[in-house]
Amino acid sequence: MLESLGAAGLAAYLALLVGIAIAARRARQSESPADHFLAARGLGVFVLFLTLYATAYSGNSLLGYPGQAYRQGFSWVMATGFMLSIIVVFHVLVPRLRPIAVREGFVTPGDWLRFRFSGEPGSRALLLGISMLMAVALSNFLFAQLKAMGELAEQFTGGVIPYEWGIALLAGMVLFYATLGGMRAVAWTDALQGVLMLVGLGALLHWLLAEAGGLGSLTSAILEVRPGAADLPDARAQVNWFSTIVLMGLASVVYPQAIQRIYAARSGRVLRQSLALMTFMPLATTLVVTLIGLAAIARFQGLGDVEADRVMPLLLGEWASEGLGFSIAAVVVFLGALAAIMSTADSVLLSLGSIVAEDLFGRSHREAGTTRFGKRIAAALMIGMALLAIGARNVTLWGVIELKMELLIQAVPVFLIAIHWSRFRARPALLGLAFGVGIAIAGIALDSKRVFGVHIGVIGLAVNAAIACLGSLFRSPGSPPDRALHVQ
Amino acid sequence: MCCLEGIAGPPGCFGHMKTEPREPTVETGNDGRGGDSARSERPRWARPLRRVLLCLIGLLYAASIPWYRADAPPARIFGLPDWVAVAILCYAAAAILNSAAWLLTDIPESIDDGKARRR
Repeated sequence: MLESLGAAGLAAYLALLVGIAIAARRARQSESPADHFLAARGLGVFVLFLTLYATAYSGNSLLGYPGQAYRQGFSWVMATGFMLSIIVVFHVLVPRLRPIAVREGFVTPGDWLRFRFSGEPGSRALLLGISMLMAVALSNFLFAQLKAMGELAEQFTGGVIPYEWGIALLAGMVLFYATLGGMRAVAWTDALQGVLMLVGLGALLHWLLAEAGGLGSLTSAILEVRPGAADLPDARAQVNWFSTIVLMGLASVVYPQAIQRIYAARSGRVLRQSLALMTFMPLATTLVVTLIGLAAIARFQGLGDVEADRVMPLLLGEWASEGLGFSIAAVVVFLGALAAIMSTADSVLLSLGSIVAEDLFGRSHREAGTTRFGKRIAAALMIGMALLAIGARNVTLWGVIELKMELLIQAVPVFLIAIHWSRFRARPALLGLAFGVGIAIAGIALDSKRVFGVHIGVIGLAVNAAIACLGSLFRSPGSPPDRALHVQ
Repeated sequence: MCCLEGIAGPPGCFGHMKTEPREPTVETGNDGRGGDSARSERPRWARPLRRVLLCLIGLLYAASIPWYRADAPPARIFGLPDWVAVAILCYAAAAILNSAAWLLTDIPESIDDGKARRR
């Protein structure tokens, strides 16, 4: 029953996405990169809010976070804090970046670097370094989404669509609508996907709490199975809590797809209102998936690290077995989860295409040919990542997220410090970046991802920022003059 | 006023910096960091209030991590272990304050503003 309903729901949903992609294609104003990658900078409050939401809450949030809550227990409440911290840290970047981006016609994050460090020694290498870092982080992110797509498709259709075919089918669909309709299609599908995600998660939590008899009974049931689950985190776990908030809050702010949405908003007012709404979404989503993961502790015992990422599909399977109405509700949640994954994958794909085409290959964002080149790059990357996801199934989603963040956080100084400090220079920033990335990679390679609970990426960032700032402060007399950071 | 002219221009006129690098003059606008207050659409008290809200959010984050709590068996609040409930309440309060802070933030208007000015 659930398998048939799931397959029918999936077919209907994919048909709807095709329709949206065609409508978005017809709505295009030109073949320019700004139209394709930023929807001609015309996103309004509702669509911008939902696209920010659907992009920020991904397969990691819907599958990885419940899995991590299952593994870690109550202390995973930190996830609500770090998702909220992203919208807090945006205060440092958005009010300054947005007006410059609009005035200068930025399309990619690299456009900011070209603008900020133009003519400085080391600026080209810095641009390439940051762009490669972003491309690697985005590829990693895409890999995580594809893995989550395959898992969900297989679990929900009872193996009718195997993991590998799930990846191929859904990756093909994302590639189709992102390539055909660009940011407009991505934003419109994100809006649909955001609504599905909210409705689905709310319904699932309601069922879980009703089944358990409320939060108190749920806590008691968890403690019966895992008596230490409510224990106070020790000092190292508390340091890790703080470090995770810093890591996720700072690294997520320099997500290329998030930066491009700052560029794509119709106006500053629209952006401000969308972010004011977004600030509540960690409570409506991350907290909900955390509670869902905790509820799974009492229901499924002895799941291993990798199996824990499947608690959401397992819960949906149990829910659907209660009757036809519950099966239909489970299908809505399934589509919501799938929507979350696809909406992140499409945004990542669009960003990757633009970054590789413009920042790494140096194509101009005023030429229509850049759009075509970016599409081809996106297609090649999607195929490559899909093959990788098919071959590397036994990786935990949270592990993949952490890896990406440890690297991406090294881009923070050239955005958050450079936008506020006129003396900040390209060459020391490049040196700091090299050290920061080196420390993060060494930590990952040596399996020392944390030092006393602090993420190796956060330590790398501290070294990176210190080198960049001290180098800028004590620069040689022949260095270029300070950038004018004032209102004209 | 060339910044404002740039902002007010149509979307198609942007995107020249790749081929014509120029001295980057970062327009801070009226975001509460030294921008031109004459252009601000926010009341005078908005800027200090926004700063206070951001400081309070920092304090709520510090309170959300149970570093100050005695290592005793947790009580229950709303059915959850007390330190979990406190963390959730801190994040809920931080979300409310952050939303208010965003509504007080002035992000200089761009395309819409430009169209209005041209009219």
